[in-house]
Amino acid sequence: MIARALTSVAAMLMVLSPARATEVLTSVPTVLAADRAYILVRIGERVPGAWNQLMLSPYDEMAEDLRGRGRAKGNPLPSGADDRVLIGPGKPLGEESHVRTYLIAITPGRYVLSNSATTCFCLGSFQFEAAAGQITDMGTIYIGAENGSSPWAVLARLRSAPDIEDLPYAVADAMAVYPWKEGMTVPASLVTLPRQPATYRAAPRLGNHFGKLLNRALPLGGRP
Amino acid sequence: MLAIALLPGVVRAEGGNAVSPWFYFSQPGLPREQVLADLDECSELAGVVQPPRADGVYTPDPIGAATVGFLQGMQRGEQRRNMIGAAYRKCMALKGYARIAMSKDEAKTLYAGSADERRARIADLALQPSQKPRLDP
Repeated sequence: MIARALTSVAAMLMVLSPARATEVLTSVPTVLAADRAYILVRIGERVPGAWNQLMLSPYDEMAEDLRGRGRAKGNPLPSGADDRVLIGPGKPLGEESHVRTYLIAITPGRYVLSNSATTCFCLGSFQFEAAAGQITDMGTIYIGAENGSSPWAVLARLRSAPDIEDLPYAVADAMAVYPWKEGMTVPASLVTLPRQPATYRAAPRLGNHFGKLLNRALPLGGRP
Repeated sequence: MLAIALLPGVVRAEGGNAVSPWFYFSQPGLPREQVLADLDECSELAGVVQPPRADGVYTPDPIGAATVGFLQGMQRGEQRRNMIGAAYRKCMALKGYARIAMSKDEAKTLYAGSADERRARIADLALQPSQKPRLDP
């Protein structure tokens, strides 16, 4: 009787115990945890000397919104799961040729590249599945303001109307996502770990739940 | 839902457009229901835009603190209107609408009446062919 009660309490505690939160890793683990997903992502410099932030949010593909919010309010996240993953703050795994590489442990699940520091990609972005027990390689992502200030050619050609460029905080960011391909930097210490390229699919829309400016991600590979 | 007609700042280009401070959006050939849905979606997405929080300014004097707060509030309101306008224009541009200049009198007529009336007139105007020059998106 007592043993059964203790077993029930233990089971309840397991259910109620919160999942571990997002963790930006500064070194490569020797073994990947089976209950965690890992994302490897390279983020280009915003402007010389300044770096970007990118937020990933759990995505409800059917409702086309962030889980637990707006059209997906009826699909909340389990307690303790990451409701957002910020890429950018924290020490990167490495930095090379104006690109920083991050390895981040997150709650497994489907995520959308939801917004930069200033802009929601509410009018079209990309979603992918971050599977447990492996590294999902997101490739390289470039983000920059649409005012010609980006050092990356794919973004530097994008401009806003002159009156918008003259206003403070009114210029939206553009985002170009390059899926992983041979030639992208992979830290030598994680070559032996299980790693799959992210399978990106279009995320046609999402709500502007963080009150940002609006834009749509460029097509994969930055094609016009 | 925040209707476009409730956001005069959105369509009046608070920042001042070099060509015309008054404009409307145009895309003839769409079903009217699609135009209304686009107007509503862009209003909803742009209407929640918020400017970044300003750093607090320490003032030991309560009157000074109130003055600083008042001025910061005014500035934040203007920034918010500008950002909503920019976001709304971006949204409509991505949905394929051209921005067309109009006169102040035309704008007054367009935005007269109730929110529903304005919304209907904006949709009707969007569907009319126009020979007027396009503004930057």
